[in-house]
Amino acid sequence: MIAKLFSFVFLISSLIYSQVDNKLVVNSINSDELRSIISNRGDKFLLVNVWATWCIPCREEFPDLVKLFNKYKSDLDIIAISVDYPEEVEGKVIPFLNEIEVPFPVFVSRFNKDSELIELLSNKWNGALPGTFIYNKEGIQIKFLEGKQSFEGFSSIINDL
Amino acid sequence: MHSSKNIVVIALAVLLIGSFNLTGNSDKPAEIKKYDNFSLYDFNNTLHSLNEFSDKEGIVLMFISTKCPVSNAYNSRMASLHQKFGEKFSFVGINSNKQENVAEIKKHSENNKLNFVILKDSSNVIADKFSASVTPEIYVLNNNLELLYQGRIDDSRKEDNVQELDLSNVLGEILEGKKISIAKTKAFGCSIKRK
Repeated sequence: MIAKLFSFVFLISSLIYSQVDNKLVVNSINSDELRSIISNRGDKFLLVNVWATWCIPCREEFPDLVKLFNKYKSDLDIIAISVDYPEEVEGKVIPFLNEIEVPFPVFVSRFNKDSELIELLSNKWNGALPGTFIYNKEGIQIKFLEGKQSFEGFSSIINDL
Repeated sequence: MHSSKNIVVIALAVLLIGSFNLTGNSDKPAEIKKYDNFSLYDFNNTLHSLNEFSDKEGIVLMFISTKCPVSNAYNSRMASLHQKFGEKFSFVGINSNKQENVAEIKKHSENNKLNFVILKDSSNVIADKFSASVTPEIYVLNNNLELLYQGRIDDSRKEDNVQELDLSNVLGEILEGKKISIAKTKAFGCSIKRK
């Protein structure tokens, strides 16, 4: 219960804090915080998207994630985790996010190593970006998608849940 | 007396069956992945076949990119590894990214002192054959073109944070005639942009 509350507060505060004074802020996320969000689902599915500003397919996919969230937000949480370096948030991540008005929390990875993030999310994932992981309401991963997806592709998966 | 003989026979039988099982499990050879020879042009329009690099202790194939920041973060490390191990191993770069042309590859190689052959895989046929998906991604082969190691160069994009020198360790183990302790790691980087 406490973990669920922590996870909920973490997600909400990320969202609220990220839009305070119309200034977008991207918080960092570590292994424990990501595990907590995944395992304490409440009554929504969760889509985790891993991306980077230097990844062109990720940038192309991002607007479709926004459309997806706007259509399914009553049943679906989305979080995006950038693997840009934390020191690149101000110069690269935020300017990109400002272009597309992101309505869901975006974090920058604070994992010690890229391999830790990869292993936490899926054994099947080799680390190619973008990577998308969908969890059910019990926090169990039900879908892993490697590479750029379309809004239609995402929608068809969400409709089947 | 009979019963003690029986016990000995049964015990021997159990030991034998056990040893067959144990032998069967522990000696089972790992599946060896062997690649076919292939030919590609380098950025000077010279045709190379993979077999021509089979005259050292092995071949280090590196899928690399001119634009990917992760691959570029490894330029100096790739140059150092080539300098350290280039006499013993053939280093071969492969660029399979559709949007990176040979002129760019040549300039990038010169600017970053990547003094090894870099082949252009224009239709990403070789990337597909190796199932290479990111840059940088490494394949170490023996001279029979059998896979010895697949994965990353080391465990951090940031050189200061490196703790595991995976590729360097593998090459060292090969030179020392040791069994490769970690034959597969996950390469992290930019997706290879295919046609």
